[in-house]
Amino acid sequence: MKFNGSKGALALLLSLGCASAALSQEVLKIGAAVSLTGPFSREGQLLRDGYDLWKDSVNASGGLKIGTKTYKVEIVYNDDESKAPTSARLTEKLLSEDKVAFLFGPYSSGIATATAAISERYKVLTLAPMATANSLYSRGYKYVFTPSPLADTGLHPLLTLATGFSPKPVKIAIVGPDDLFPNVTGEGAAKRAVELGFQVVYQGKYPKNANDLSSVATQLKAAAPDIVLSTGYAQDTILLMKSMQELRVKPKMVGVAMSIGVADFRTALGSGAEGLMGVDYWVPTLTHKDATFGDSAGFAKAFEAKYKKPPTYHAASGAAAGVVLGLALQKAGTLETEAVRKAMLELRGSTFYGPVKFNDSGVNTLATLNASQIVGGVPQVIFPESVRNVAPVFPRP
Amino acid sequence: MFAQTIVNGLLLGGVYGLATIGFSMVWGVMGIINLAHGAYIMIGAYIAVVAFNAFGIDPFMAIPLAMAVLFVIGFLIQRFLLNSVLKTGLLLSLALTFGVNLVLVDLFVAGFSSDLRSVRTSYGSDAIEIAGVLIPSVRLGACVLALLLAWGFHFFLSRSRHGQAILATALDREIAQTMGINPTLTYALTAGAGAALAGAAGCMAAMLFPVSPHLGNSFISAVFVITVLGGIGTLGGAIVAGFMFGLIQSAASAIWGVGTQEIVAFVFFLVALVLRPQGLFGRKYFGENT
Repeated sequence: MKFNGSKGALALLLSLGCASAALSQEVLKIGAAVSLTGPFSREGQLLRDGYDLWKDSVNASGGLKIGTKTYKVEIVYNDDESKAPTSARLTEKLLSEDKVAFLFGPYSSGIATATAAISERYKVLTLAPMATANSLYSRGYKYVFTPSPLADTGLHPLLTLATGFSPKPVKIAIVGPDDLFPNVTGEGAAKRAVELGFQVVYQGKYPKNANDLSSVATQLKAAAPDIVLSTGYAQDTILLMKSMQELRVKPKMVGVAMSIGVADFRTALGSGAEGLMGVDYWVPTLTHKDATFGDSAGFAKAFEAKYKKPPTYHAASGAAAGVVLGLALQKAGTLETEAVRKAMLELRGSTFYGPVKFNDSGVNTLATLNASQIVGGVPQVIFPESVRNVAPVFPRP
Repeated sequence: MFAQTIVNGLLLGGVYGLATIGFSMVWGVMGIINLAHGAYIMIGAYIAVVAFNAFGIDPFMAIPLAMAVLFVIGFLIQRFLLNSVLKTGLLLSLALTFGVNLVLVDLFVAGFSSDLRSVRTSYGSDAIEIAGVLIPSVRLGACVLALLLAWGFHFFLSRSRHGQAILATALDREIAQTMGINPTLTYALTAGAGAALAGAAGCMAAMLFPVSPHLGNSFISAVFVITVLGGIGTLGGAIVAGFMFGLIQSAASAIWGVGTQEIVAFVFFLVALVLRPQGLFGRKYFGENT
């Protein structure tokens, strides 16, 4: 009897405890329309993994303390099917029906351009880590911020790296799908290449959904460049690399703007990936610090523990967007948009992903890029020298 | 360079043709535009991927398995889903096959994720060189095999009882029925055989393209164009139009640049339709002299 009584009291205490915890902890609702199906489903899912990891890390540590209150983070996801109009519609729904306080951006600049128009109208702050086309940040938008470097610099690390090779490669070909981000990256690379004294011998675009890229590989062969730079997404870049292999196109250096850090990109190419260089928004060897993950190694560890696979830069950028938003919220001490925007603009600090300082356009002026090369089947950091694991292999074996 | 581009396009055309035969036959025989056909190709590709990566079976050797599995899938979907809406008209069958496609693709997203997969055989980047033009072994093998399978299917249609039944049903469903042909079974057989050929094309696609659950989507528009261009329900038409499609695309990209390959192919398609609406090999009756 006594035993039952104490058990009852314990249950009462527990339920009281839960009720008071539920009362004191408020919910910070963030909306995200990301691609979970369609051509960007892979990248969209990776990005979502990053957002979720930040959310889980924050909630596991007791929530986000903003002003006097502690908030539990909740993210409302909608699948935009990799389509800009769908993403815009879902963003409108997140803002008008779900009443989210902030937004995490979609994958790709093209889609984000459509959603940003909506979020600006509602004056809701958006963190768009994977929307880096310059055009998005030159429209005078006030509420879109990206912690990542802009697209036109997307191949610059590889070009800088190539100037140091001996004998110095001269002829460059730049190729990629006809889409917003690849186009901006390609043009940025062509401009920089000329500035650095390279000769751009081929600059080509192919349809985004092209089934067969052997004709591109044939044209590359005819142009005989020393360096081939691809601005493509994972799927079409795999196709291009396979076609180049089939048609024996063997430049001294092959660099890709995206995908080098994506595991299935490497497994799909197998030995054909050896020696490929690529730009990474994030690599695990970076040593920048933050309070949520510690550093990049800490982020990678947390990611692997949750998802049982190594992280990619998509996920890192997503988690970093969360950290940046958290920093701004804590600085502002309120959820009120204008105050958070002001805090965002005044923010000086770093996340595991890199240092942060936003200009009025929402661009992180301190963001930098890294480069990796597939050596022995694994990506090794080769640039910048301060964080590299190995020296770059040139010419490509 | 021009010759190289043409060779690439032509070799791919064989695979396009094979991928189209099933779609075209189903359309011709039953009047169904099967939007799930792309998913059949995708499933064939995954069978090749799993067979190779998990069991080390060569993708060419996995073709019979893929054909058998897809035959069963195509047969069952036709027998238990599509047959019941056949009488209600085109729109409902379009909606239904669209739904089937979504379900199949999403099942594969759930089971395999959207990760890109590929089949990397030891001979994957081998090529035969003739007068400076490289003929990639995989493309050549796939093209030859596609033609053999198309010929085999032609043989089945023209020589076997079931094949004759398919052709007879395509000519006139009611008369065929009075001759003792069971249309329900014949339709399911047609769909099964069509799906089997799509599965074979999928195995070949797995060697040529990165595989994801969305692989079929990139095929379906090409398959549609080739079907109409060749003439709905004509086997030879599908093959010839497949080659033409590959050829036009590659010629366009060689002459005007890669960005123009789709536009040129579709303009050609429109012109062909205006000049010959029944398709290049289309006849008044779908099954006539196939």
